[in-house]
Amino acid sequence: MIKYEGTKHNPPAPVINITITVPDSSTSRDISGLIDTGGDGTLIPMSIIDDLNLQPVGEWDILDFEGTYVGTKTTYSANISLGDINFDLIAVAPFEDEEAMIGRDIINELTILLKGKEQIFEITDP
Amino acid sequence: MSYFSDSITSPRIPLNGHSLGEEKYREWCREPETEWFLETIEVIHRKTLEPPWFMHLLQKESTVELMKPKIRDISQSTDSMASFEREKAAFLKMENDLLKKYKGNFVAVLGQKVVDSDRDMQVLMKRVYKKHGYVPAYMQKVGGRRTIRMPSPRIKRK
Repeated sequence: MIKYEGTKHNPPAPVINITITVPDSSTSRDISGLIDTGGDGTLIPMSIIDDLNLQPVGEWDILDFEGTYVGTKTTYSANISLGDINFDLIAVAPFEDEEAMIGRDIINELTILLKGKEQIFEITDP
Repeated sequence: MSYFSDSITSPRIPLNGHSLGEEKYREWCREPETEWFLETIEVIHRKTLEPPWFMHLLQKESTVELMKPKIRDISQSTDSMASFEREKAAFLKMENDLLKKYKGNFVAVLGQKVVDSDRDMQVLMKRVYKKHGYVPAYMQKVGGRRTIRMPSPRIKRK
């Protein structure tokens, strides 16, 4: 069980340590990632993309919470690990934040138990 | 390399004033990544008619050593982005023709031509990188770019 993060998030939120790795390489960075069931895709900080020199791979049109088009983002390919659960070649979009947002492209491959009342959660690979 | 001219009348940094020593400094200036960086500085200089504020720092050996890896990273990532933009332009040029054969599928454009396609983007990425290495190919769905909803607003509390 992992504790909710309550210092940067109010109300506290399910945040997990993730590792972003360059495909075909062992170069990686560890950051925290918010479990964002509302997000269709995964976002990672632009600084990590620059640091790891991740390769651009495509583009997404991004809609905000009102469904308004806010822009087209270049996507980058990366390997992402949540603990010992690995996801190879995920397309991610960059954004300006220190924390990643893990979207349903990853979440839908997992079993996640949120115990909001106790502010703990569990992630398993079904 | 024109920015760091030998002329002492130039507003540019003279080679003979550098703490690296003239020979080592010339060598550094000739490295491809440095050349790209210095050309960028020259563009800034031409646009603003002022040397960038950090110019004096470049006269110190310690600064040059510190900057080398970062310049290399920026140069590589700029190269990647330029290649990616070329592949994207090729995709956009071919898109109407691609509709007949690939509509609804993802295609990978590399070397300004379609090198592979698949219904699944992840499967396509795996095959393309296996065959061509981890390169900036443009992979896109033919007949409509993917739309992503990111509906989680952050509330800034007072």
